[in-house]
Amino acid sequence: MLRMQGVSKIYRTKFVETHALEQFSIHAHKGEFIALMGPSGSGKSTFLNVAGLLDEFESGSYWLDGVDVASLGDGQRSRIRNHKIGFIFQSYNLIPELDVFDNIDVPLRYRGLAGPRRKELIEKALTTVGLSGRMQHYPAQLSGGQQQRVAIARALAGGPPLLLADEPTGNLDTEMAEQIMELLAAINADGTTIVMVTHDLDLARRAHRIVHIRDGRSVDEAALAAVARNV
Amino acid sequence: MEIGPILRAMLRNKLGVGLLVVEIAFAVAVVVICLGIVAKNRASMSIPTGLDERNILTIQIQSHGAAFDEASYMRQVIDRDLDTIRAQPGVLDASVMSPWPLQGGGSSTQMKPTGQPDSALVRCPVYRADTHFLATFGLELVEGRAFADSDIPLLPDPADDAPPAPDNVIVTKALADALYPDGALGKQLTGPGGGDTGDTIVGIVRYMYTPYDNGASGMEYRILFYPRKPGSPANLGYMVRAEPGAIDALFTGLEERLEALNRERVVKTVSLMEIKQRGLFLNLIVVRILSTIIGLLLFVTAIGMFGMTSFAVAKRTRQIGVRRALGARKFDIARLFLVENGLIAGAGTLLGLTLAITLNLLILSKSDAVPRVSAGPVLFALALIAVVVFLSTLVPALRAARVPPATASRAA
Repeated sequence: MLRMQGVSKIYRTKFVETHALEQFSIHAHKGEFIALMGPSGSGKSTFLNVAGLLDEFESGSYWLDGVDVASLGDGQRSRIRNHKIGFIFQSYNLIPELDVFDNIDVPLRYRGLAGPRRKELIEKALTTVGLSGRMQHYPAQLSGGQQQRVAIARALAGGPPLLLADEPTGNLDTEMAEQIMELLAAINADGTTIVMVTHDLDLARRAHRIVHIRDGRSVDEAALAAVARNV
Repeated sequence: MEIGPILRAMLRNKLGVGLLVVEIAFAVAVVVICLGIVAKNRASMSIPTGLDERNILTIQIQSHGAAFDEASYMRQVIDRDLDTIRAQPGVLDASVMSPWPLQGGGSSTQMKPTGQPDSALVRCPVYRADTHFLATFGLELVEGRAFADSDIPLLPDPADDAPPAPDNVIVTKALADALYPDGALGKQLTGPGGGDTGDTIVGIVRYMYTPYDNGASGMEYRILFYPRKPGSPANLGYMVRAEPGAIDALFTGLEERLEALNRERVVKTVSLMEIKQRGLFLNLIVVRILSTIIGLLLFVTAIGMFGMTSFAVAKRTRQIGVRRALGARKFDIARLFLVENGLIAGAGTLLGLTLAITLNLLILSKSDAVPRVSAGPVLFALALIAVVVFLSTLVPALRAARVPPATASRAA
């Protein structure tokens, strides 16, 4: 589903070059649930930006659902984001002026779907996250956990094969976090590939596999375990 | 097109949106009303006079000798002047008359058909002219005859208290039709007080232009020509029709000739074109002032729209990044802001048009100082507002489109 090989991403200012990703490689199979762990500044967010086609990279190769995305133009990248990727952000990123229905409707409109079809998908997504009664509410009228569930519904509604989640429970209490993780597990069980960035080991253990990232490089989990044993 | 969600989102910010709508409404109302007035004045300035303006010059004479106060002397002076002018090479004909066409001022009277007391009075500008004015202006006589020497009244006797004898008059076809639709030739005129003047229509000319612009009232073509009383006034005016190409040489030549005839006067030649420009000076000033107001208002509106859109883009940068992350193309983002402002402008325009029409009707019910709101200025105002809104929104909208999608994942 997602295959990166030797990807490098450098942020440049006038005086400084920061190698956010350096020869980073990862392979997520279809239906897999991967947790990406690493300390602050290790390159987790940069990985999500590159994986989600929010940012470009300097070198290496990246195949997403069989498509080499390295050479795509802005319009094609937008189309892939819209059709193949669902984003779940730590701070939900709902649009405050739009109610729940219209928030979930945003990516569906960009896909050019007809009104009745969009309504059907929105209602289905809201049922999945258990918020079908909150369609006319605005984000400010919802709790953090409810907002994150709306964000998940928005990510899910178009049926993307890949979900990218950036600390999806980072702003939630333990009980809410647990509900969100159960929701993600259920979504994954339906066949959606999930790559979740987190620094919470307990949450990461809910994934099928944990990939560690250090200084922009991926660290093999088995090798890491061997190092730990030797220490 | 996501008009529904945009409208619903805008309604969450009623005050901000409302202020913009009111600003645009005010601009539209003022622009529509001003454009109407500008259009009216421009139309007045561009009405064809029907006269051979390029080949007609006027001669203004200011006399300063006591002898000129005597009517009999003045008559001799005029006869000699006109003979001299007509004898100049390049002159087709010359006439003494007052006022001059296009001069921007003059007098009018009101007449109605004699024997029809219930008829409405018809207002008409008045010229006083001699036997040569038809040829001088190249006017076409459609019925009757031109003035003859016998139509020119004799010098009045100061000792005679008898009322002046009735005149034979010439009218334009427009005035003839307004007074006597079934035929005006030979008919008499009744004045504003209801008294019969005894003045008889002896000739009808197809057309003549007014001495002063009176807008689109219709009176500018309803002209009444009286035979000029001999010997008055002291300030004389001649109209001279030149052969094509001969007018330039006549300017100085005629001044010198006429001044040589009598040194107690100042002679000045002015082209009819210049007279027309002076007559339309007020129209020109109105057009320029209102055009400046319109320009300033549109500029302020553009600045307002630009500022508000730039502020919205800056405030919603993260939201733009989120939309990009969710699949919006750059075009979608630019379109979002263009549609938002288009809807605001549309609402403002509707409100502004309603305001303009209401104000217009209100003013028209009290006076005819402004023209009725018509389709032309309204459409032009709409086009101007549309262009201003589009251009002032385009730059910030394109800036919004350049917000990178990675903005969505940056820490709030």
